[in-house]
Amino acid sequence: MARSISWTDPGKLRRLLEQASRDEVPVVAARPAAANGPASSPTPSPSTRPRPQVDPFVVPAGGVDARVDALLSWIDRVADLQGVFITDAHGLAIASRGVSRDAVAISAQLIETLRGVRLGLGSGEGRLAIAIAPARILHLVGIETAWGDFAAGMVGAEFLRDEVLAGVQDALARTFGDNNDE
Amino acid sequence: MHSMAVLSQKGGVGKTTVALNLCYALAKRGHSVLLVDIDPQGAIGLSLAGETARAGGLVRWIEEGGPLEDHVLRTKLPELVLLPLGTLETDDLDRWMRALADEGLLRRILDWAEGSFDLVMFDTPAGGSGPSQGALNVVDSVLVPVQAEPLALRTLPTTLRAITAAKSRGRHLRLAGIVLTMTSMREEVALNIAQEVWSTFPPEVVLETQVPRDPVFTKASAEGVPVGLLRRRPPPVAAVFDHLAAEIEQRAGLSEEGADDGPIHLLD
Repeated sequence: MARSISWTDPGKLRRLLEQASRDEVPVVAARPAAANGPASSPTPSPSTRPRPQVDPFVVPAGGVDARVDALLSWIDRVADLQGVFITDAHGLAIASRGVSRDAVAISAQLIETLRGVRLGLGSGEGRLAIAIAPARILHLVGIETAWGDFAAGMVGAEFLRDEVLAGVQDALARTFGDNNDE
Repeated sequence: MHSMAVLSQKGGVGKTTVALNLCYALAKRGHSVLLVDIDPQGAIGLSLAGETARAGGLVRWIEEGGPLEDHVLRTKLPELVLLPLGTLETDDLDRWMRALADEGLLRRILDWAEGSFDLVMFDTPAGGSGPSQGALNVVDSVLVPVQAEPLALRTLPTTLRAITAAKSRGRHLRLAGIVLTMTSMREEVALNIAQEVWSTFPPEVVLETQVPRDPVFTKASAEGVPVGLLRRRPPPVAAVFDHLAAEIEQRAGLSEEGADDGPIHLLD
């Protein structure tokens, strides 16, 4: 069967369309937030203190939208953030939670800078943090894949630990990596 | 009266271009249309040259109240009326996002438009939350532009889920259709995406009209006009929106055939 270049599962899309087109949809209870993440996800801690360890991101089964959902939930758990977003190479938001548009809007330029940093260092590594307002630090980590560049933007009151940023970079790679075509 | 939201999870797919040019084309076909900008970027106002500031728009209406009539913009086409966003203080964006998502506010706009307009179109920001969510809570149908590139299609499930979630809250909401945008059939990736959309979704969902990638849109944006008004004899791509308007007209129930409607003989 020819591979879908959009990674989407036509059967799943059709089912979603059926649900969206159905005249009457039974009222269902809201899905618990943890359902987006791995089954063994710990309950988010209210603590604002950095945690000693970062649990690795477990890629859920399903399409890229399920993976992105899970990635946002995971980042929310491992870092104490005001908001988080994922963008494509052009800085256009693929998904976001709790961030204002200004943070997403400036990410396009910052991602370009980040790309320059990676080129300059000759490595795929490279992270960026910038204070965009008092107690508002925007962190950006990016990856390069065969499908294009992706970045995660995180806005929080404090600078994030290196372990957290490395974890997010690894999680991004797992979400959008070349092994993840359906 | 019918109400519709142009909705997409992904940004940059051409929502504002579709909303503005489609509303202009529908108005040219004789339908009275109110185009409401609930995108905090205020892209409708930014897309049009002229004194958009003379209407306070949504922002001033929210702040000062008073008759909505005082805050809309009448255009040279009597059938087309705009409710632009107005000038927004970006340092308080979160509050405005909440304000524009307010279902009560959006319903007051619809109540005002009832009886005066055939269609109210909401241009929403990217993403399924905030003002987009608010629009899903009040409109009759949703038009989903899908840019002919992989990421746009990958985010389509999220948009469909947002529609399903709104319906699960008891909303009678219809998918007016999916319209492919920025198509370039000479490019393999764009063609493959179009084929994926056509093969995945039934014809009644995917609109026949596709909006091509065309530098004319940039030119129209630079001039601050709908493409149909770029010059006296509009460029070919303007006809795309006439075609789209004819399709949407049927899906929005704007073209019910009357008893006196039928073939019109060319000769007496």
